[in-house]
Amino acid sequence: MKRKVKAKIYLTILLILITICLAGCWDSLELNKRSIVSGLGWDLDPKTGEVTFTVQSIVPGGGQSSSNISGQQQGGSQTRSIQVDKDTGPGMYDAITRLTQHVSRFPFYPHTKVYIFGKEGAQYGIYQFFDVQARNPDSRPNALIVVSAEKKASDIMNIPDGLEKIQAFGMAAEINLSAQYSKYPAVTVFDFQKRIMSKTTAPIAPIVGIAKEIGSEGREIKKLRVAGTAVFKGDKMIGELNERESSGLLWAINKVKIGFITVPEADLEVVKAKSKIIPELQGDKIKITVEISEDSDLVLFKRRQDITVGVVRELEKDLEKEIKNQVMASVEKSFALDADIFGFGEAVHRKYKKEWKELQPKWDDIYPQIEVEVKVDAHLKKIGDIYKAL
Amino acid sequence: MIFLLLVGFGIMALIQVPALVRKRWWKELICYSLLWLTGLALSVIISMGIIIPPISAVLNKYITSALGL
Amino acid sequence: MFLEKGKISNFQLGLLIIGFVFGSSVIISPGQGAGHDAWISVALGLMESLLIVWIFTTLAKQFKGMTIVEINSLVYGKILGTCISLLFIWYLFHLGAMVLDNYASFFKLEIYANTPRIIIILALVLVCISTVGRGIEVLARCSAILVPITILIAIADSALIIPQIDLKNLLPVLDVPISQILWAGHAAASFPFAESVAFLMVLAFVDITENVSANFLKSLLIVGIILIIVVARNFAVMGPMAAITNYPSYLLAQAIDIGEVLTRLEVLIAVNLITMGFIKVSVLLYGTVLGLAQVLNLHSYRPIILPIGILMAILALTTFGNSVNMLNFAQKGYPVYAAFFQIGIPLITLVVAKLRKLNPTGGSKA
Repeated sequence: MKRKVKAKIYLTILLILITICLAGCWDSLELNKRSIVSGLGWDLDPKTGEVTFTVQSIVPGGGQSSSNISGQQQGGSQTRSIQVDKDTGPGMYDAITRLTQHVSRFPFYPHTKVYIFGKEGAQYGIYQFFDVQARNPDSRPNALIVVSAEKKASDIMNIPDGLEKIQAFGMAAEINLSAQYSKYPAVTVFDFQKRIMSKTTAPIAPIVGIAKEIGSEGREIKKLRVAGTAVFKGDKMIGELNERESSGLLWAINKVKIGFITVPEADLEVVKAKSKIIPELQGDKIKITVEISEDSDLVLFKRRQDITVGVVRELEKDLEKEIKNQVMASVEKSFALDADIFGFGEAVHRKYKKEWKELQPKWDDIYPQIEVEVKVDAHLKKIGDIYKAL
Repeated sequence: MIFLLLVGFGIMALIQVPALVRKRWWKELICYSLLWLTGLALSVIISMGIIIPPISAVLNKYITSALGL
Repeated sequence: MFLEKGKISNFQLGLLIIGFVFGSSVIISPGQGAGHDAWISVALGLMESLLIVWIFTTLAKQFKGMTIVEINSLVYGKILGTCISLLFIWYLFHLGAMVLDNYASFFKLEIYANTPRIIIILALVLVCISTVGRGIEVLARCSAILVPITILIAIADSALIIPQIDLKNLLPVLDVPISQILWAGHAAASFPFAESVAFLMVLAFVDITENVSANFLKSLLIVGIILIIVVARNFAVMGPMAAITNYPSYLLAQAIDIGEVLTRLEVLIAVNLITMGFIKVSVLLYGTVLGLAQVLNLHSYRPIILPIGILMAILALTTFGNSVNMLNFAQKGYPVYAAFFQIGIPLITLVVAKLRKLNPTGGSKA
């Protein structure tokens, strides 16, 4: 009898303890005390060294407009799903704490999908941000890094995204889509950290800007647009790659998934692509061979002609020339910026361990002198539903 | 805080000591009491804020200085 | 011997060893200090520890059914034997406190930022106390369920991250100076592999002692291979980040994102830590109380489990001070400190036993 009672007492105590622990002990967060941050913007004023922190939070309940509007908002009649707040402070955490002065809930970061840097801040140097991000256990390594084409990050965080209610998620989806179609790279925090930690590779990030259009009523509409690749040296942004150069970059670093290429007289769809970087050390000279092999399908043929074996061969040759030009364009730009965006340095490091010790400190001088050869092996696989001209 | 500690250690003693006395396990009782007192003393000292020298850090200092690592 | 009436089978022992060695390595990767060649260090550590394990299982086999405390008293005589046993017991106790500290640090950093450390520690210690109180059999049976789950989670984790693996991150091989790799190898042997010297308190209760060595080595190989794969995949995915993060496996699990459905799986790593941490601390607690009970010739070890557990928790709070001390100790001081208990005590005992021509029944032949 006594044992049964004892057992029941223990069981009750245990159940109470478990219930307390399930709620998270001291760490229980009530959802309505937190604001879920979908996108984070970071700006630095180079003259004063002050950091501006812009936080895009999700409004619970999807489109209820509240009367407490702080920060900048556009278009009063549309329902809001996001709320943008920003604050400035001498340091990063000062800016965050100042948010508590005009935001009713404390930001909750594990759902953040994009980290946006203003162009000004990026040119000043963004190392501090990455240090905070790496130390903070709340941040996700899969979030995307974006540089804003405008001076400040807060400029692009207000622009509503057409199809998505939550703008930051829309931005992330846009970047991923353009990466999938091999136009601009999608850079996660992991990728950026890897490049920052390497002593020779230059970090890259896509640039998102505002595109202005005239809407249906003649009013100006602003839309988001992925518009280039930012090139960093260390943690400072030093230049950009345009559309063609970005594609060339993706070809060289094996990040091409699918996409479309235009050659004179035809358009082709890339279905498979692989690339390899092969370094060679010849005495003092470094030679890099970029070997690209790809399969593509024909989707547009401008000549009213039947497709023969000769035509296929011709198209493949045109394709190889076009890809080679794109890659060489990006190589030339990287030489001009003296930034090793392809990871050539690390490729040399992997193959020539001993020599790398002497080469690495001088990499900035050696890099523009590298001889780069691009070998493309293109295959035209399918030609679509018709095989003769209309 | 100290009150909670006293309560906690008190419960500990209440659970085990009667059984030990009943079985007349004097050696075990002495052992238990010594450990119990050490635990109580240390917890009270820590909760009062007096910092105990971190054992592993001290050990580390001696080992690394002796071997020059 | 009369203090423990339970018996465990070889299979249960094998699983228990796997659980123990896995312990806190779920989150703290062995082989730190060797950069992306850490997997080589772990492999070296595995090999070194196989040797160490062979030494002390030979000792256990020669003195069948006796724990290290009893062996010490036999080999060295009562007084010296007791002193050496007390040192060994102190090692187990200290190790238990260190594991608890690692456990609490992880949870405090990643998940429970506001909960006081002592609560996290107590939550685990109380469970371990109650489990140890029921004997070694219960612990072995627990491990039979928990360990296969952990292995499954570790394999699933590695499989799900395969799309993000880039083996080029592991090149060039042997980039760091060889002396660093060797030192990291020895460090990997002391933590976690050769910590299984704690089993010298448990091996006495295995029902068939003949194939203890083979069993032990098999278990170590399984854990070792899993750990090598884990360390290699950490570096393959994260590159040089894995060398500077405190908890690389956890960060890695945060990156798993398959089809937007399989995300946020890092909580499984935390689950792994809870189960394996529980096994490791329980075994260490068990070794400590059993050893102490044998040294002091107590009727049973049950009364002292609770105070020793609480003392272990208190030591866990104060033994390091901050995580920098912990990392420093783990890389520099601990491989030396532990070598004395992992290699020194078993080896010297074995040699002295051979010299004195002792046989298990207790008398010397000469």
